[in-house]
Amino acid sequence: MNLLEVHELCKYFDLSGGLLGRALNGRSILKAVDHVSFSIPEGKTLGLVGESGCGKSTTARLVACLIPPTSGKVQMEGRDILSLGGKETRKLRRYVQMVFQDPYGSLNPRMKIMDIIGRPLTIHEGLRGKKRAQEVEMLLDRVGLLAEYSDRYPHELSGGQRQRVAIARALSMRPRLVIADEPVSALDLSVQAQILNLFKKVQRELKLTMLFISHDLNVVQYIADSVAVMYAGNIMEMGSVQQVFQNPLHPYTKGLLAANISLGVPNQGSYRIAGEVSLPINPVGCRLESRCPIRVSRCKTSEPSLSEKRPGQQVACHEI
Amino acid sequence: MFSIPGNMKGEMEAPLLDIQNLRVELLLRRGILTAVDDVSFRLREKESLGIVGETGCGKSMIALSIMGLVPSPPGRASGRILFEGVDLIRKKERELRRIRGREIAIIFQEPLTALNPAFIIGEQVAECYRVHFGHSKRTAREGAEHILDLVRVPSPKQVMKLYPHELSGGMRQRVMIAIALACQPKLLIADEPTTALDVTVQAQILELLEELREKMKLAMIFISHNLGVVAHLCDRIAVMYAGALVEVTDVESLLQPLHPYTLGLLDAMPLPEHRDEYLKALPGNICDLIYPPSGCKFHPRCFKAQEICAQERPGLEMKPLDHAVACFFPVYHEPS
Repeated sequence: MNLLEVHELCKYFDLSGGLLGRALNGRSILKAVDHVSFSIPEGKTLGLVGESGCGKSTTARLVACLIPPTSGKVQMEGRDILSLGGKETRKLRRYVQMVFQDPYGSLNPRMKIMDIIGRPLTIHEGLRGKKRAQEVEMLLDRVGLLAEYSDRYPHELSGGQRQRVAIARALSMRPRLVIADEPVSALDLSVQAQILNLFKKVQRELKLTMLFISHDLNVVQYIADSVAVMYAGNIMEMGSVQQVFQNPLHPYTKGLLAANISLGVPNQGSYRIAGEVSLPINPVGCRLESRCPIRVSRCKTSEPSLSEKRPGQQVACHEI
Repeated sequence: MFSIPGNMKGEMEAPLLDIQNLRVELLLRRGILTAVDDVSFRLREKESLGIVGETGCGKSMIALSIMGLVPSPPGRASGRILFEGVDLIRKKERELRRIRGREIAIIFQEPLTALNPAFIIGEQVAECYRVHFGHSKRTAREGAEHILDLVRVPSPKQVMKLYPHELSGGMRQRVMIAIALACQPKLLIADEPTTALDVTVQAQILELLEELREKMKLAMIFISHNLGVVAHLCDRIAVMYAGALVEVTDVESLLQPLHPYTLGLLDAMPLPEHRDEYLKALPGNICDLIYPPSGCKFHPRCFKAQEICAQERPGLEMKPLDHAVACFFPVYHEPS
């Protein structure tokens, strides 16, 4: 059973710059997320990978109802969460929690850890005083922090400890879905391993469903069950981690894997993607066209759609 | 008690760079922060050394002190940095300027802050030729065009007329490399040059650096937190922890590390074959650099630590040939 289903989700930004700009230069629309569909079965993790500007964070924000989509549907257990009313949305929000990249920016510097984790408990469950303190203590224990940390401020903690607090805050609402947007990118290798272990542990204990966003292929390969590779607002390839990483079909996935230089992982040959990402402003045809090593003439005009090329492995490419 | 790790094969010829007991201290209000703590190493001509370590371990401070760019105050560098036999630490700013950029060049992580936003690319590249060689405007421009072509900037003539913000991240880093290599330095220091870039662009830049190093016979110090990138590009690797070198080794031996910290870093890497297990994460956090632990700074996090580790600091010693480690109980000595 899929906990989360996303259908044809789009988010466009109008960059025309008002009437005058539109009159002078015509409409320019940045298609940050363009017809993205995926689903996550209950208790599983979907990894979303891609380079900067590919729309992975925008997708996360859309799913978390932090920004309204241009079009599309997001369903949790069959219920469309975008069309709910204010009260219903608020209720549902507690089941979708987010962990952000920068644990320095995502914790209020003027609040003690006790209040950072306890605030949602007061708002959603009306917990106060001793009961709330007990609950906070339990959450701190769950993420591997001593109870005495509840009296401290964020600036007294290291990056890894702050990320633990952010995770405890997300878990305080007993969420069904946790969206983690580059949660380990700001951390050093040794701390990153601690936090990845923590994600793995809480996911096992609480049977969480996760949408895990990262630009680091090794991290996604380690933590996720299935993976979606995004490029310039489109999903290029999607499938189980084993399939996509061992038998990539899309030229972009191949290029990404070949560029991933990592110790102990055999390099996948010298498949090179030339050039750099360009923003998908008024895109026509395949977004990778200008960089693609196997492009043909129709890639310029027609946009390939995601279709199943191997059982369970979807690819958006004309030439596969 | 400090033996100086260098490549044995290179011991005969004088090293290009010979750093002896380098110490960089920052005088802060809270106390004295030792950013680089008694670091010694040598670099031969055409050799590439990778320095890896986590945030705050002092790797960038080594780069800055070689360039004479440690801000002073609050910084204070001591020890010896011998470049072709000349001690850079004792040089005056004016003399340093002749070496900096000409003999030793540096590439920084963030090309957008390293490039001047108010000048076009052409002027910034040509400046090297005018300052260091006294070329005329015209020859300098020709030189700039040539070097931009060498780092594979497409249509250099047009790019020279652009401002830094008009270029993509990868293109900016190419321009930075062009500026660094314009004077044909003997030593290139690259301080996390690809960290701000996307992986596909990172691969392009690394390929370019590799090729140019070969072509221009450069010695290189490559600083990164990414073990994979360093292993890919360098002949030797130095691992730093809390300001000190803990292990210096050939790339081939890196996968059989001697220091428990290096082993910890390798174990912490998420690899697909460990999917079903927890990663072996190092416990705790990086130590306070103002009040570091006594003895070996790594001992509170070390699984092999014994009493002596808290009392004495281990020196960097050659264990097998070409493999130096600063540890009383290197990993291959299994405790009985």
